Amino acid sequence: MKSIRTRQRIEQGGRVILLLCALLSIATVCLITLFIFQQGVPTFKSVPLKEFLFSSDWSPSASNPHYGILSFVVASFWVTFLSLLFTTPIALSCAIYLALFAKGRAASLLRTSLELLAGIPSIIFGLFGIAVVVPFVRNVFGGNGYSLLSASIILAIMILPTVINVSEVSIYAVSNELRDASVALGATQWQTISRVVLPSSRSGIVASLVLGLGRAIGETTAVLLVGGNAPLFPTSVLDMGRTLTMNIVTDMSYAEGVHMSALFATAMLLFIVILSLNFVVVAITKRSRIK
Amino acid sequence: MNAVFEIRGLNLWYGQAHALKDVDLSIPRNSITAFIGPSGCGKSTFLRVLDRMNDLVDGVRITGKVNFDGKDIYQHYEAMELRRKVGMVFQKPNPFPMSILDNIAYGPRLYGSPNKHDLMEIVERTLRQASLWDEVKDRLHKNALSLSGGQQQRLCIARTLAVNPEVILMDEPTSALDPISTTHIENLMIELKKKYTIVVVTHNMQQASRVSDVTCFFLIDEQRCGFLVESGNTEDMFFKPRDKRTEDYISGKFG
Amino acid sequence: MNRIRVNATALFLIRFLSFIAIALLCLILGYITYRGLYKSEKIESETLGGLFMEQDYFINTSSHEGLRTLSYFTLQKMALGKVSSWRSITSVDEPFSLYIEPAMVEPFARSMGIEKELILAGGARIGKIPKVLVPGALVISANPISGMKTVQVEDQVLVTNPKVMELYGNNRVTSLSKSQLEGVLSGDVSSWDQVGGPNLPTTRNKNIGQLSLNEGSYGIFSAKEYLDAKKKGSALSLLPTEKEERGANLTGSYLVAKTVESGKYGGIGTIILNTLVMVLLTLLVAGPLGISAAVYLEEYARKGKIKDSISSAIDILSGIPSIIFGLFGLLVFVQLCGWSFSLISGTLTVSLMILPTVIRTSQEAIKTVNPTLKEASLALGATKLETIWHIVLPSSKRGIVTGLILAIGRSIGETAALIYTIGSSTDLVHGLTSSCRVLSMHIYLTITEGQSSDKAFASALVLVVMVLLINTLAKILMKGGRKS
Repeated sequence: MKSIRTRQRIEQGGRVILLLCALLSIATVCLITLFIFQQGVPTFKSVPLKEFLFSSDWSPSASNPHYGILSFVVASFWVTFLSLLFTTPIALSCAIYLALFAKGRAASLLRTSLELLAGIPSIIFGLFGIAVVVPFVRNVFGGNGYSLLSASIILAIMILPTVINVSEVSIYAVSNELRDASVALGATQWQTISRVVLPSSRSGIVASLVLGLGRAIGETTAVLLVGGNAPLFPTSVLDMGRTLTMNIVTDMSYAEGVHMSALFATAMLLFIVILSLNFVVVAITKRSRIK
Repeated sequence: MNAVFEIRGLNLWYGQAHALKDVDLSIPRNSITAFIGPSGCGKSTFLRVLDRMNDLVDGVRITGKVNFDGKDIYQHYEAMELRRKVGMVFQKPNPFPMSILDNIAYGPRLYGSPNKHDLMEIVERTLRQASLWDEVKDRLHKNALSLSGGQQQRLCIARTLAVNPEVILMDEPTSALDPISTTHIENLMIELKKKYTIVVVTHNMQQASRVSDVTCFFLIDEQRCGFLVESGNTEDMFFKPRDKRTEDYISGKFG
Repeated sequence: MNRIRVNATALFLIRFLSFIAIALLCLILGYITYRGLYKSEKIESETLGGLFMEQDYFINTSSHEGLRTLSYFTLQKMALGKVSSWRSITSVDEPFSLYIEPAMVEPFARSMGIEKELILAGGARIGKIPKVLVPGALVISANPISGMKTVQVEDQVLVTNPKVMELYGNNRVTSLSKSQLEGVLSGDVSSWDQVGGPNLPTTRNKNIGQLSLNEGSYGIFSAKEYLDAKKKGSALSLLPTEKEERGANLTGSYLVAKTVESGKYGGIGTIILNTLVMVLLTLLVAGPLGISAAVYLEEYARKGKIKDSISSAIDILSGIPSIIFGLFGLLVFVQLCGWSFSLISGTLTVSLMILPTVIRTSQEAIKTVNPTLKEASLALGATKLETIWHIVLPSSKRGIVTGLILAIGRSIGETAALIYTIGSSTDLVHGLTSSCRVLSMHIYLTITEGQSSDKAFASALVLVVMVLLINTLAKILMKGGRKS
């Protein structure tokens, strides 16, 4: 027979264990920050911050090594910017279609496709990129094929589900009354969409794009396989480039000393950028809720 | 001790809102006590004080003394202990999504693993007490949710009886049931009071006058705070109420 | 009028672009399936594909679906006893043995241009062919043997004057693609510099003796002719051509065969097992941790700073890219805890990654439990924990399991977090601290180590199927929940 005392002790103990499990998430965030920063900060003892951020001379194996990540920053920027550019028309169309038009089979087909697309691992996208996108870019645009452009195309497909999910919700949330008012004034469907619905859901759409941006910046495997991985300053989108994530993965296997710290400093930069993007999203959604 | 519960000067706050004011009340043993009054006047809230179910709500503050069997329910009893002795049946029947047998066995199993024989004895006894045995004795392993509303409520009563309480609190137990099931349960209450003490919150004045021995009338004041207007023998309350407000409520002037 | 047209165009565009999303998915899945199931690689081959030797004997083999052709040079090596395992020919790790019917020894030796004694010395078994042959046997016989498949020998080679294959500036022609060969043969390609060689006119010569005299000349001859001419001292070069390897790529045996030599030979059987082990372990770690955290947040935590901070931490965690988890795992599990590249390092890293998903979906599932059931349990004297264990968790079982399944789907395809944590050994994992290659890593390594892309696609197909199965399973569970 379990006495009341035993059951109470189990209750107390259980509650503590559950609390610890929940606190694990806070602990993990703190530890990740701690460890990454701990490895990354010492870089700046030997590498001045200005050089790190603004020099495109990345030569860790030279006799006088330099650790400037500008080329990678620019590559990351172009890749994410282009991927957003490519993904937005398709994403918005899908979001509008799902939120406003879709009925029955067409809608569930589209939704299922997007769910499956979201579930495909990045390595598969990379492999597809090598086999299909790279030759395509090579034949149509010239050059090597392995390029920032190829990476943007693949990324655009990868972030599609993320962007659609959040935009769809915002577009759907635009009330029926608003739309009815527009239609009652004689507007066409497209006019209602472009003049009433999209502006009303603007903050949600922007939030979804920022989320997509966050995912794109952090992507490693797929861009590694199709981006070319040349640590030079990219002058055109057809150039082979190396993003910040690619740099970390490529060099980490043999880096030591200041070189390794520099890689962790790159990780620090990524971490800070992505955290800031998350805060931006929260700020946008909070503001829209107050409205 | 003839009073199972002695309540003195009970006040209850939900955060800043004063919900119950200065309740003084005794609940006699082996009787049916009914709480009546308009909705929102705190009857259910007060009922939940008796088995400390209010502890579950954030920001609830209670002052005053509540004695069960002569001892303070906060100082002298653990919540679990108290709830074994003071059972509760809810407005909407809430059997667990398990078999009929498992529902009844739930309580006893918390305290250890009763052997099969003892368990069956408990199941049969409580189902008979709840006058449900004949209807379900052949399908004890069927899911409780396959029973009708009235049967489910009787199952909940049997489930409460399985832990051998002294008091059974009932929060509007028949308001979700049809008239026939309601009659069933009312008869059950009268039968059960021989062994147990019943406290029932009811919206239905006729029900209160039919089954209860003691009635307590609650009202809500201008500050939205509930208080006890009067309590006493049911017959007296209904035919010779002392307070005019009681008379008005019973004759249906408001409700 | 104009805005009506704009409207129609816009609506059409919206539908069209939405359709593109579906098309993209089909394209990707279809392509992976196609490449996964059919080999389409072009490999360099010394012999010209599709042109077979006239044999006066039959070559039979008992093994390896798809083996239909052998090159003359390979057969020579087999005759001389220089081949001990099928590995380098079919990638299957089977020992090779050669059987020859006595009457066929002469014809075989003659066509191979080798002396009988050398064949005997090479370990070939000459005599009556035993009824039951060891697997991996190659049998030379007068008639085809029932139950075995016959093999044809490719023996035509493209021979050129040595000058053709010399280094010319920065270029040199090392092999010809199918279209290039056709161009040369038809005369469209009139000079070797059009295919990356020197500036010499392409001239066909039917006499192998003449080839060494005429710069730029080439011809198609049998391997025997080529070897004989070389033995006589002629200066000749052999120009390999690209052959398309057709046939099945991912086969049942590839799925279950052991992985040999880092995936170069053998199948992916051990890798799949490793992946399943990792998945199971991840479930065991992330499951209880995540569910417990969700229980705490939904059942115990009061609205306030603690609950909010935990919630924010979970949101932050779910936004952190996998490479940073990988670095964290490297620092903490691999280095600090000293577990090196191992199953446990990788599993813990991935578990942390999927923790937010597990917590959030479990929270949603727990929220749906009817509060009056919890009240009933407490009213019977149960403790909160007992109520959670007996009532809340069983009721939210479906939602929790769905969430776990989805989280597992995410972890199976993970690479960036595993590159520096889980190791790359292809052996079956034998302990928590042993290096363990999983499917996603295998695909990545196959690509980056420049191995056969056919193999990469075969593994990719398996991975895609696994992920699809997992997601479908989760969907079925979710739908089932709604019905009840």
